[in-house]
Amino acid sequence: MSNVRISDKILLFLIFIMVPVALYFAFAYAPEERVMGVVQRIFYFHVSSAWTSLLSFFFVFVGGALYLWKNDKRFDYFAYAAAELGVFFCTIVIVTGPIWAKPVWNVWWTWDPRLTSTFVLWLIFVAYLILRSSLADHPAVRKYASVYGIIGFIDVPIVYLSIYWWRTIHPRVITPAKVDLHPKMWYSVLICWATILLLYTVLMKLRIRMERLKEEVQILQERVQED
Amino acid sequence: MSIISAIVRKDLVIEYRSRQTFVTTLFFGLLVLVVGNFSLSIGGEQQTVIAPGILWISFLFSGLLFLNHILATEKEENSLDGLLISPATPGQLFLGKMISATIFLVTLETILFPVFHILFNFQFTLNSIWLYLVILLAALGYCSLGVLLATMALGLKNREIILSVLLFPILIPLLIMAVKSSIILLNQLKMDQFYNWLKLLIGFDIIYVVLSYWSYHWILEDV
Amino acid sequence: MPAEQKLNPDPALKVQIPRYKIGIRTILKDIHFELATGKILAILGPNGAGKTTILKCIAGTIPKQGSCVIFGSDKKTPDIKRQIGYLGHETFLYEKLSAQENLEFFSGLYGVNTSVAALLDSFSLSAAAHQLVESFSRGMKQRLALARTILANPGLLLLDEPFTGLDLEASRLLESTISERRSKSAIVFTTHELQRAYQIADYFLVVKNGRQIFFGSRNEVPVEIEEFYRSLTA
Repeated sequence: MSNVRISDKILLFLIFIMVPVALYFAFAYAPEERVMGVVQRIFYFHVSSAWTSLLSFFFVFVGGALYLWKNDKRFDYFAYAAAELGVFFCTIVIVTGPIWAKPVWNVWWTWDPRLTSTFVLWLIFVAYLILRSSLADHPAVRKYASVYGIIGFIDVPIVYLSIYWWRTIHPRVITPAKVDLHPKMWYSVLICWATILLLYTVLMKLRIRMERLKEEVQILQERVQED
Repeated sequence: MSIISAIVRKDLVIEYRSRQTFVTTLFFGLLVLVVGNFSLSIGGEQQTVIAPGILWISFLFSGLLFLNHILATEKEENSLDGLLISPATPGQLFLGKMISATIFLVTLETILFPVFHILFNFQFTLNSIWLYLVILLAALGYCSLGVLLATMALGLKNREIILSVLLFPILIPLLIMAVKSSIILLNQLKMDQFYNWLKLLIGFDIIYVVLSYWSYHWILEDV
Repeated sequence: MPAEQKLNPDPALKVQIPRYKIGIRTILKDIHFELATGKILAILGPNGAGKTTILKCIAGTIPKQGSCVIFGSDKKTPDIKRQIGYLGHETFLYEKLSAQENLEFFSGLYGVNTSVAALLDSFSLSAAAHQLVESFSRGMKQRLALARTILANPGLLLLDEPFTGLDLEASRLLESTISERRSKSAIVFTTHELQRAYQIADYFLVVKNGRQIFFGSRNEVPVEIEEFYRSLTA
């Protein structure tokens, strides 16, 4: 138990340092974008959140698959926590998207592949959370949720493909082939992402611990019932 | 194989005996078309692009009603337990239910197909055959995922709503493919994009039928 | 008194449930018994003792905890499932199908070719063969449910309170079915009717609050079974 506390303390300390660093990078170090101006700085948080939420949903997929395979509850705690955090960060993406889009392109929403896929992803994993809360006491909740999480995640590339050749006005700034960013911006993105990942790790640990404690309470309740 | 056909035959006979659900759902599907038509009564150009969407909204909601019904018939006298105890494997149960649901949905759509054309003033051309194929493929994909999720929702009080909440987000690609194909077909546009959509639709169906078939036994373990 | 374990030659059924939980509640604890083909086991106990849960566990309608070895296999393969005939509180029948269609469906499900007509006849349901089950009387439904249970010639019959609420005709048919199948199957049934249990069964299992408080053969049970039962469950 005390081991866990130490690593948590280290993480919290790192976050304490990284957040102001990230803010500095995003708001001061990175040069202002020529066309879009100050608003563009949201990009650093928008993109970091997007990558984090995608990673998180991938964890839901992996956690679900491992739970079905190994039948170890801990994988399910992991998946559940990842789903909640994924939805959280995905919400940030969907909210910061329009905030960025309106002053720049003068539209609140566009149905381009990336934003739409993100929105559908959000819908799917909100549905996952609804499923979990509706089935809260059902003996099979973990299995059902795992199956749904797997199917939901597999759906994402399909969603993306199916609107792929619609015209996109989503700026293709970071592509595998070419990086359109000024190096300073690139560093800023990475720093922001690293910070958000740290935050993510702490939140995941807390959430998973919460699930574990819930289980322990249940076991204790059983013992009381028996005597 | 014969187990699957036994299940399908049973579902078809039961439905035929109490045609009530089918007729009511048919009427509901028709209502959605009609209401949709009124809502879009701006007339002229816009209608032909948006109208196909109405067809698919009707399809989605009618299908939802069938999916719930298909599993609900196993609740009276707890016959689902009877199926679980039997030598039928989860895969066979899944295929049986999926095929039954698909047959119902396709039958309903076959009836509404000409009605839709008439209501929205679309011509019957060679493209109509393609459109019918799209309906068949969409029904298959819809029912495969639908049976899986409807079984999950079976124990819940608000099972109809939960099923739609679970099903619709995942089926958005299916909807997009179906609507885009329909727009091309009904408006006699160039067919090259249609073939792409068709390929995607077939791919989607394969993925989802296989996935749902394979995961069904996880769902049945603790029903 | 510790539960005695009787070893039967070539057990058709071997049950070991150290603990059965649903959520927080422990429903069963320390259930062990064996049963050979040709023998009949009566499970007795007050309401809520867990008799139905034991049967459901063996049948497989609830997820298994512990082990139920049926004809040598702990896993429920289709072949093993074919050997199980389960008659519970619900009939598993389809209201919108006729008696004949119901039996034909289950024949298809179990992959057997039994003559449905002959089966209906032996359960006095020939006249109602084409009638929809929803129009059946309770007694008719029970008879049809019993017919459905033995349709595939199961080697293991699980009957949950089969005598409860039966009319005379159905009761008679049930008794004759049991005595007919006796030699070919292992039969487990739960009941409240102690006298009837004593007449039919070879072995007795008494359950109270989910715990097994007696398992033994007929020889170990006195004729005054009611008193014996009362002393156990007091």
